[in-house]
Amino acid sequence: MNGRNTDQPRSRRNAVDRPPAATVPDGGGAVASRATSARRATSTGRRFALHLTARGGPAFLVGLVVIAVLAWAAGSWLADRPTFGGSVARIPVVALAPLLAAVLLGPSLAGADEELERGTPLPWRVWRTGHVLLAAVLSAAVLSLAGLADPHTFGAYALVRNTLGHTGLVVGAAALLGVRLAWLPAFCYGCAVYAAAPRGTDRVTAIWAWPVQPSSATVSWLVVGVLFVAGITGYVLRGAGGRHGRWPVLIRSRLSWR
Amino acid sequence: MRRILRTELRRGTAPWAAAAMCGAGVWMLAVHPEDWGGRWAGLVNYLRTSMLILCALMVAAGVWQAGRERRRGIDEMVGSTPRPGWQPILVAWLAVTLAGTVGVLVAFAGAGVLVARVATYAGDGWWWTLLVGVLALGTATAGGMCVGRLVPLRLAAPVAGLAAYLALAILTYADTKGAVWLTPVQGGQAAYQVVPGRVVAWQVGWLLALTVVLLALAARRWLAAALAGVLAMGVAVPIVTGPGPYRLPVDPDAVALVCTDTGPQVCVARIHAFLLDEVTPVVQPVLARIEGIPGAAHRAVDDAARPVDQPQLPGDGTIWLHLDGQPTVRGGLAKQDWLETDLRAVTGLNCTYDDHDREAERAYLTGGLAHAWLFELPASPEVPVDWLYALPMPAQRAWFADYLRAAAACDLPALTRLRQPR
Amino acid sequence: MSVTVSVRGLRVSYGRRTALDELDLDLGPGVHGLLGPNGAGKTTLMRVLATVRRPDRGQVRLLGQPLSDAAGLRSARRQLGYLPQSFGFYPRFTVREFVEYFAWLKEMPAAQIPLAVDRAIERVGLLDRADDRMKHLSGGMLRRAGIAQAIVNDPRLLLLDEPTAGLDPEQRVEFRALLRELGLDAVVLVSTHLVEDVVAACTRVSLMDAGRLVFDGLPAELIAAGGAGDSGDSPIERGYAAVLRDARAAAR
Repeated sequence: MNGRNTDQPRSRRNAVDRPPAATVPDGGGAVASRATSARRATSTGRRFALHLTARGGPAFLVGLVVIAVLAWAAGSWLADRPTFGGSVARIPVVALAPLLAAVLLGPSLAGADEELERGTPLPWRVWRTGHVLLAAVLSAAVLSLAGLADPHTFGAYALVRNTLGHTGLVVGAAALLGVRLAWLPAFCYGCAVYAAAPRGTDRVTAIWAWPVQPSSATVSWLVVGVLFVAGITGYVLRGAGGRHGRWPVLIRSRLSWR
Repeated sequence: MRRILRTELRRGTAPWAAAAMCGAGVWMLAVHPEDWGGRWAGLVNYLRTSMLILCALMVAAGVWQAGRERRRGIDEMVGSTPRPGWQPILVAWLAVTLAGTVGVLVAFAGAGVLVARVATYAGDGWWWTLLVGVLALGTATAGGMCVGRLVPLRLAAPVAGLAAYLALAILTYADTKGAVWLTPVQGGQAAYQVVPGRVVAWQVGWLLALTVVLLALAARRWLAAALAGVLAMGVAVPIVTGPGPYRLPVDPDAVALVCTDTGPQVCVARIHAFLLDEVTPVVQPVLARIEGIPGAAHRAVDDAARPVDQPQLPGDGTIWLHLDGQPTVRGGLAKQDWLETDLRAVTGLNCTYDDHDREAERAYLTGGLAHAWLFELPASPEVPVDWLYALPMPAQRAWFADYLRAAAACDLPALTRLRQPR
Repeated sequence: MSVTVSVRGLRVSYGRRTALDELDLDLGPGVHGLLGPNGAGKTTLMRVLATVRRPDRGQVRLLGQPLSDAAGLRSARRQLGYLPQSFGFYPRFTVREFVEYFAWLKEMPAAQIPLAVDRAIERVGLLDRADDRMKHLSGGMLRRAGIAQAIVNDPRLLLLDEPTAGLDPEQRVEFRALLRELGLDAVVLVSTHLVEDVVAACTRVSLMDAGRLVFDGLPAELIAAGGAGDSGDSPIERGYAAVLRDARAAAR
């Protein structure tokens, strides 16, 4: 037992929002079905808004905008400094800003109680797919704005690629480790690659050091594609793992009371 | 309190901090071995350079540890206990700092084993560098704990780590001003340079005062934090207004020359003495080839031993070799082509041209010929040096002497004439 | 009866909502039950007595010390034991380490801690699980570990908020015996919804409603207040309902 409050998470209300279709009498069948379909349409919109609020959507958006603004400011400042090679100096921005955005995405991947959500009849795989794709596209789009000046040299293209790559890592880690630790593998990997500061552009380097490769390196895009698809597939199929999810099946026998 | 410290070391964030710091240390050492190979001072300087990453990690570890009470919902129970709040914070800080420091030192001790097998000069200045580095790890952890206590965000750990990294990186851009001494990250200091003792003392004081400020803030002891803050500012003033890391004094024992006994003289600094056997076979043949030619260099010396006011050009018969980024972990030469670049200075041209492109191009072609002759390169379509090889050896050497004279005087007509086959 | 806890004119508000409204209470040695509907202010009262929440108005004297001065506060906390309703724990700590940590936080003399920890763990019946990590314990065991940390310093004032939640009936019987033992020379305040616990273990009972104290007396008096027409399946539930109804009618 821990210090969690016992209020139901808002997403629980989604399950009880469904109109009771079976009780409508036959005589007013046509009118009733139009009414229920109208109610279903609004309730979907309302469900969507509730879902976003339950998952911390506004905080994520605010954080994303802040990161984009900081990335743009840092990129401009670095590119203007005379001692570096112009836009090439933006490597730190390209390596770190997408990492930060993906890390911010982590907490929104699960609600307050994963077990409660799994008990509801909502088609969670559909919702998860939509959630992740929407978040990834939004992050990539907003961050690419920060690199529009000279998009080829460590600009918008590299930002988009790195956002997708890091999102794949975070989302896949959420499926395996749970939302609380989802940021860890991507963070360690991003920092390790950045700290290594590899200078080569050969194929092997492009595979493991994709965040700091120029956007013209095709291999880096392939690696990012693999990470993105694998991460999203894992998350969609399993949901958030960790303590509340299905992953620790092997040690569930030792976690006696939860 | 010892038992509680032991509990925190075993059960808190400390084991993870130790593992992460050891892993990060090993990673940093593995990716740039040429920065620390074979030199004790180089190893410790590299530890300070890696502080950019290591301090950011300690900040993240501190944030994670300090957020434990809030994460676990145990704030209320702890709030009803009499022990002053700063004591559990101190124990937690000590646990994480000890664990992280041990982790890093284990990684660097492993590298130290490799250095010990090769190193030719120890000196004693590196103890102080190491001390400041260890203190900085404690300060970073304290900073993390301060953020973790005062900022109740879920993602505070990675965000604070990244922010710490960025702050340190930005501070290092002020690389010639005194303010750079405030960060533990050391920039392009060479292994044979010494930080003045006064600066080290100020740094120690600054880091200690800053640690107290941050821990006091974490414990919400505003008065203690203010007092320590005043002290920290007081120590920071002489640091910031003092000299920057520009033209640091050199350790005379480290740059004492070790030279070859036979053949043209090749000298390296004592701290690079293990490279002498690798450097000599590359440099001596070139020196032997131009031996006796008037105006040519007759010896090669480690750039570390170059007096500060002397220019880098081999005008007085000395080629300067840059061996700073050269040692491998096993004491070999990492980049032979960099050494050859140093040797190119013999035939290098330092002239200003009136009509830049055409004159420069003509001079460059002659310089290419001289370079090819010096290194005995085969002829190629761009560098038709075979007519030079066809001449008898005294004529070749005379040609080279003429080239050196023309290059030193920037005599462009002479250079153009030298290009024509005779 | 020596008065160990004395509360006068206590007022606590959360924003615009008043949780405790001019509360007066005296507690002496023994086991006191605290009953009341949800939102009555029981948990807030516990938090004020545990010195976690400072009251907006009013005087609180714990164990003869006024809480307004820092030295008095620290001295009172050394003799305090508190277990909140939803309490946290460090998952990787063992039970022993957890209780030991709180013994240290309560400034027990270092030499006494190991023995006191063992005794506390044994009293709650967790001695065979003392070296297991807390994340491997069931809910009832966790609550018993929480009780162990509350009693490790032999407190003169013990505050337990819903201590029997999650305990099975056998464990509840053992717990009531522990309470009676603790109540011999300490003030034990137990906030609970389980009225059988109050009847079985408490020497006095207080009833709160809407931030005010509406009943303070013996359990037998509370039972006597109820009649056949009141809602409830046991005599004390009927008495509880009766007292609440009368108090709400008087308030209107």
